[in-house]
Amino acid sequence: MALLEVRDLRTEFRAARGSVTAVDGVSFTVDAGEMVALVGESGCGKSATAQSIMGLIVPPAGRVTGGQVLFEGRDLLRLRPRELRAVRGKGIAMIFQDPMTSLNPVLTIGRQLTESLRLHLGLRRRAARSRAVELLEMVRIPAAESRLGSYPHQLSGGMRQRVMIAMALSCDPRLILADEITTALDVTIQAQILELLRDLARETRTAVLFITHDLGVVAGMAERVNVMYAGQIVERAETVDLFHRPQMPYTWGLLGSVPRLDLARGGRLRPIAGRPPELSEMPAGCRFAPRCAYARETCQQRTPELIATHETPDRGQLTRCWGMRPPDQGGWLSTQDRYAEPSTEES
Amino acid sequence: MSQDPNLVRVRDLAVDFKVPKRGSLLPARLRAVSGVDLDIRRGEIIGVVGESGCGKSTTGRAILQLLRPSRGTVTFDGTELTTLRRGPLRAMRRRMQMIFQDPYASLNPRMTIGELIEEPLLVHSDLASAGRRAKALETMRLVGLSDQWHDRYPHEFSGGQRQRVGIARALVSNPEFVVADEPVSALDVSVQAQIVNLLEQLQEELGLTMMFIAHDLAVVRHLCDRIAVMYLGTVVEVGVCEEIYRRPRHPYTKALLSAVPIPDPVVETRRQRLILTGDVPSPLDPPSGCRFRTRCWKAQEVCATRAPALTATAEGHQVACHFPENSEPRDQPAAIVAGGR
Repeated sequence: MALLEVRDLRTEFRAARGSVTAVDGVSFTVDAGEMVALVGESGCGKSATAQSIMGLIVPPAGRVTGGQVLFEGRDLLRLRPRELRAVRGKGIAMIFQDPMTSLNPVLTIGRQLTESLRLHLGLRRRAARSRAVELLEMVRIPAAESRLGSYPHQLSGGMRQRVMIAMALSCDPRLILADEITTALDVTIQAQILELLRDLARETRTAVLFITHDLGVVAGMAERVNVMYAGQIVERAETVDLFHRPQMPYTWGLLGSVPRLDLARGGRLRPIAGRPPELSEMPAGCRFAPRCAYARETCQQRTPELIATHETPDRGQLTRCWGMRPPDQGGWLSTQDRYAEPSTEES
Repeated sequence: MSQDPNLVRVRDLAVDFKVPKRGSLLPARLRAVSGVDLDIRRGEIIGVVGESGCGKSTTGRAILQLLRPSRGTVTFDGTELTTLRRGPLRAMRRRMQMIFQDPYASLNPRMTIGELIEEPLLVHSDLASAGRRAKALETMRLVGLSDQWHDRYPHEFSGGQRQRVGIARALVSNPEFVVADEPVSALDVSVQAQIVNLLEQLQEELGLTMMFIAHDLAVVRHLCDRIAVMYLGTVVEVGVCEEIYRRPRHPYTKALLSAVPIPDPVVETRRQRLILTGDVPSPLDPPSGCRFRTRCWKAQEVCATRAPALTATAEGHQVACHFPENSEPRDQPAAIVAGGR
């Protein structure tokens, strides 16, 4: 049994006219101790997915309208608020992009760390304090003991993110949701934080759902990757397969949009035309079709399912693309086409 | 007399900010840029990279005299800008423009796109209304905005389109020199690539000289001819882009390259990371001597006492370090093979 299994999750937000669907039928799993990535551009629904899992979507602004979030077999969406609170912290912990907004600015680091230890683990003041020092040492904060008295604004961005990691780990969760945790950080600090999270997750055998827009970061962190576009998962693969044999033209576009430091400097980048659709104006058929250089008529009319690809049948790689169907089922694309100029001709 | 190959010459540039000081009525002096020397050649794109607070944006603004430097000189095409009075400076400004990071904050929401793009022409040209309109439309087409957007307002635009408007505003007065301050940092990757390609194409078509300020080293390498690496208000290394990426001489450059994630899991597991410890020190109280020494694995006594000067290397770039990395040739960019400490 997977540690976390999200089934057909659907989350809607209230909009000016009616509602918009930010997460539309998302399913994926995270096994115990595994690091899984959720990648996509802004507005693709990756953060809304994480918030839905944690029960942080609050009506009337938004509502989870369908699906299940099974954590160790229990559906979190059906839990009472009290039961859910028991899962948060001890079962699942979350780290956000901006530690400044998730730390309380008027309380010391020590106070905030010991609070969760006393609340969730029932530790006494003294025990909580010494555990807090241990946690700060674990996230490699120098002079940990003296840092307990610091306020969040007295710490740098990287230090604050370390504190957040310490807080997330404080109750020994089985799963950490890490939502764009290095986006606000400089590249050398990002490298420190990624290394820290990777090491600690491995040591403590904690599973991580790693949410980011940065494919480069994913490559060095996750074992499996889910690519999201316009509220849906459009490709899922082992990390190596995703980067070496990407199946979905959207993934090709993401990979072609970023210059690579390790390759020879070459011609122009190959960006994706246009921009993602508005949630309120979702195109019919494949949601990526309006921007896809390889789309045909079918793509604009019928919605493709997320199914196993014929190029990598035994690798668990899934894609949501009509062109990538097997040729005998009408598919017209292969990974080779990624580098070729798209032909506009209908066969 | 032959033309100077450098369009912009910066010498010993320093910029101070006043910040409130606890327990004192007098403000403290924060030196954001401290003794920067930089030459910008005609027709090149020079990338300026470094982490937040390193002074890269401040340097860009000080070159354009949007911030007045506290010390040093900035020469633009032979004219010294730092001592120029308002009138003549305004005339020079037509020739040097800026593209800002945040296309949301830099466009007045109550003006149409046409008005926004024409606005610089009110100051920098004596074109009549019809002429300004024609010039604005021409510039819109140049940056890939169709005529139908002329009478629309910024809120109707996406981030990428707004950045195109920002670029059009900078280019409408036919400048020779453009400072682009993190122009793609706020954009999603797919849109970012569109803007990078546009800047590349515009630079070639118009023969612009450009200073491209960014923190994304992969984008800088893709776009730029030369690169300047800054740390805590100083330039630590300058040179031809590919040279520096292959053979970084300054330990900071090496660490910076090593920290960039590479979108390939096989490369990522193979490569040896060089992870810096600690944070960038406060510019209110920078370390003595070499400013990087508190995070440098090669630091010795001399680094604390004497600030290293920017010195030419055998490969023809410049580095400010007492113990620069050696320069054996490599097949691969240093990002991959950066070794241990």
